Amino acid sequence: MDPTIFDPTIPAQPQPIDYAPRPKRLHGLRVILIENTKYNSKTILLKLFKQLEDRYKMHLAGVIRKQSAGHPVTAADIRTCANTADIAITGIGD
Amino acid sequence: MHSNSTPHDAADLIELYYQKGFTDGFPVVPPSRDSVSAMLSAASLEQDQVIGEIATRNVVISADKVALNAVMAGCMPEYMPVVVSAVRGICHPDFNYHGMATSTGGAALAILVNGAIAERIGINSGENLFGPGFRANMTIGRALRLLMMNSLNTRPGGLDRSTIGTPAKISFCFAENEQSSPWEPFHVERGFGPDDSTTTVFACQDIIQVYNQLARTPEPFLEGMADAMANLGSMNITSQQNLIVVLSGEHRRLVAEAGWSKQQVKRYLFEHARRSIAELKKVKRLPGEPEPGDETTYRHVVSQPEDIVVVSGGGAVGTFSACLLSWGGSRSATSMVTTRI
Repeated sequence: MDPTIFDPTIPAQPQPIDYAPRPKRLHGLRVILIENTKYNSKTILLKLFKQLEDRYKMHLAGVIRKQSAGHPVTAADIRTCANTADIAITGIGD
Repeated sequence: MHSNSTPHDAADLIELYYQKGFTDGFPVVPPSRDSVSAMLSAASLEQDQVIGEIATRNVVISADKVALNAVMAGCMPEYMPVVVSAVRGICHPDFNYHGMATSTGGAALAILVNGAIAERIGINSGENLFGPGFRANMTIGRALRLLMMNSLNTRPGGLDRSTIGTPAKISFCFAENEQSSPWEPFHVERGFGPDDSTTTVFACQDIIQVYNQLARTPEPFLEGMADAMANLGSMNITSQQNLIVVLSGEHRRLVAEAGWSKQQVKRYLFEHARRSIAELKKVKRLPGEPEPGDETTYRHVVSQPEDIVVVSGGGAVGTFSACLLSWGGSRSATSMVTTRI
């Protein structure tokens, strides 16, 4: 009998990602909303944006709709965020 | 690999794999260097050869890990090319592994096998199609699930967040019964050659058996199938991705003897598997209240007939067929089985 315990796990490769520069202030920032297709996702994000608009005069730079809640944001959409907005807001669950 | 404290017998070794958390809840077959090597050799693979990558998990799947999980699942070495093919399938971007594996939906990974490999290694395509009793079916499906759990970290409470899940998550592999089919096999329909063997991986949210013992023409039977496909609780009715219909036994003969083509079956099911917008709004599968026109505006369970996979399978006797409904954000992926033979 081979007494060895074989390890079937595969560690995920670390992927260092640099944070985007943090804004110094909130006033007048450009916002992109990333809507994940779940019901009411867009409604809640737009309500949140309205508060940001009222309090900090933020501008809505766009709303990105994902292919589905189970899909990642595309590289093209990430480029759009980087090129046209200061912050992106997402994260709506069930 | 790493050594551990002195197991005295196979039972000790099995217990150590439990302690390490390397099982699906059932005992695993403890691998040895020889058994892993035999598994790799059967698929002509080197141990560090890359089989695929799950980009959204940042994980690269190497042949040795596939072989390890296949041994642990109880596979024979000759099953390994099928296992490898299915692993390539789950790496296809359209399959959307991370979504199907992690979702609260709790979908099973169904593996449909086509071509000569199925009969050669004993993958059941007949009676008890989805049931136990067939080593190739049970262990190939289990090998994929063990790989998902052990190597891709798809574990309950971790990156598997199923609310309920399904026993089909343990193992779900079957072959098309090509000999009994009145039509070309599914892999040929998908562009592969008749001499090729393939696996098709499918994120299976629900398995529904469809019973009809009185129909003497295809339409009444297919009407019941369409109703099951479009049940108001299914994910498919709003996600409209793809699904699999398995025609068995007497239903298979019923449709064949009526001279229907596979395309006719798909077209009929596409047209009848639908719900009105009003129905969907009433049961809150769509937001809002029914409006004028909603009663006569329909959402089909898939967006085109080609999204319905129709295969032959199951026993020759009996009036039970099945539809396999999909997890919403995934599309099935078909990959070649590569063997040395």
